[in-house]
Amino acid sequence: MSEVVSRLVALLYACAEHLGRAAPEGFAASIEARTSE
Amino acid sequence: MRGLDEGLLATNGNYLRTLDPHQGTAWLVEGNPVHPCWEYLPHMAAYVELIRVAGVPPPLVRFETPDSELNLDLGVLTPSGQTVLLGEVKARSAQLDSLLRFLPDFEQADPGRAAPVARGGPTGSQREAWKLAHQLWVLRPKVLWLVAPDDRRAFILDFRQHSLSLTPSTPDVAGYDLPRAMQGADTPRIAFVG
Repeated sequence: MSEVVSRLVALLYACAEHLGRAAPEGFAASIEARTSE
Repeated sequence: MRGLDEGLLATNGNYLRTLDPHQGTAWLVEGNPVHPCWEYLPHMAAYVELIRVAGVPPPLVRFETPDSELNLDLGVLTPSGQTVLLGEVKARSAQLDSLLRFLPDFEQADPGRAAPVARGGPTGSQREAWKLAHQLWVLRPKVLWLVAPDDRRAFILDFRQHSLSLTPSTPDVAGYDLPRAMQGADTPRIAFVG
């Protein structure tokens, strides 16, 4: 995973945590797949 | 990421903030369980491109304008508020194709604000094109910049002879005559001209 995508995943997880919402299984993988399209 | 590192972008909880003090609400994830609001990724990148690549002063770049300013995704303004470049951002390139397919339906006249879907207003891609056409007719920008991930398309706009025409042009925003200097630091509100 590229550094940019790693940081993006971390950022979006932080947003989810802030909302108190659950990130679904495969959340990080889905971001990686989508951003590499 | 460069935009975050350089302070052009910031997050506050789940909210994305730019340097536009009049920006509307933009959140990065939504739903339960959460999913990313994909459109904001190319939206953030395009905002940074306008400032760092095209050299537009940050106060002249508007991001996610509020309802009272027609909900533009991106706008490059003159210091007096005239829209020079209007940017429309989508999560996928195919959505840009749909916009361009429906936009000619509105080349003869401003369709006005789209009625709510619940009251029989347009839906889907036709609604998106309708809203964009209204923005173009009312603001009369020189350049329309369409943005999707790894996809940039630009058009020179012409409103002469009472019709809207789009001429494809270079997608590189650095190639346009955009405002590159300003006095003061006030971000203008959008001026309606049409």
